[in-house]
Amino acid sequence: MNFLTEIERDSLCELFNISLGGAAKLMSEMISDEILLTVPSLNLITTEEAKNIEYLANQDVCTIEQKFVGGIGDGSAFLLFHKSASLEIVKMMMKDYVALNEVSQFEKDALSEIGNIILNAILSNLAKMSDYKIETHIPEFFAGKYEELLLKRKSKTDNSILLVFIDYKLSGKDIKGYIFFVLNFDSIKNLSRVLIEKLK
Amino acid sequence: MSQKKALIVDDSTVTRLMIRKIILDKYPEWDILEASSADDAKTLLSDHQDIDFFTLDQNMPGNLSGLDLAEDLKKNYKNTKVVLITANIQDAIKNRAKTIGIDFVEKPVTAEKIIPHLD
Repeated sequence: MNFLTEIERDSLCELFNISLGGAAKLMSEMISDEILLTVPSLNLITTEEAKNIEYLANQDVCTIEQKFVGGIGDGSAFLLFHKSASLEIVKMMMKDYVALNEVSQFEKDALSEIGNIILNAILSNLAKMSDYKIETHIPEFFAGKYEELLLKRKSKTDNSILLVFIDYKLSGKDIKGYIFFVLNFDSIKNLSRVLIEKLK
Repeated sequence: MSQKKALIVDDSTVTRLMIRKIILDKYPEWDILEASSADDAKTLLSDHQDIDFFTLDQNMPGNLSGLDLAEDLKKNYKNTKVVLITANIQDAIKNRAKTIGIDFVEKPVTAEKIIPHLD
């Protein structure tokens, strides 16, 4: 199994910490509520290991995937909610714009838009801090079992993927979600090298 | 005074809905048109050449981005106000918007961000 040195791990954690602060602010603005974030937990694991993460395995989820290409390589960023929380989030976002009984019609579109804004903010910061150019695609929405999401994306060249999991929680509500990134090992190693150079 | 007309170009129904409400809350008399891609917007423009205000999403399905359409609009509708709405806040996007001569608003859209561009 590939591994990251302590300094590589620290540099990446710092990057995601800074990026997520801005993303949390944006999400708070969209849903008019406070977002509490955990410190990023960085794990370099295989797809098989990722499938068995305790709090997500067998769960119905909604995700928005933002694929990206650029100097650091190709990858994907995901914003993930438990299915049970997704409609609640959309209600919070849309309450001034449509009647409550119409909110469900906008679920897919509203979640895609939240994903688009949050993930682009993180990726833009990542580009800025690393000096890599990153181009993003139109976000894609997925609803189903968490495992199906990962089955679709087994890497052809590299069985290891980096999962940077960040839990977030809405203040005063029983709503939790996750942001994670899938990149192959070479890309993430490269990114950490650039960050370390910049920190010197 | 003639009725003002706005065209909102965005592939997200939710964002179009939000911008529409923000504009109409401020100016209920405005006529609002919507398109879900730059290509659809161009088709609409063949019937409506008297648009006063455009909001353009940057990333949309199809061959043209918001900035591509903005470049075209600035050539053909010189006195029209064009605002780029973007979730992608990389400097390259901002710099190109400035070069074309249009304003930009970073998502999420709010009344506070949109209203200053309406007058």
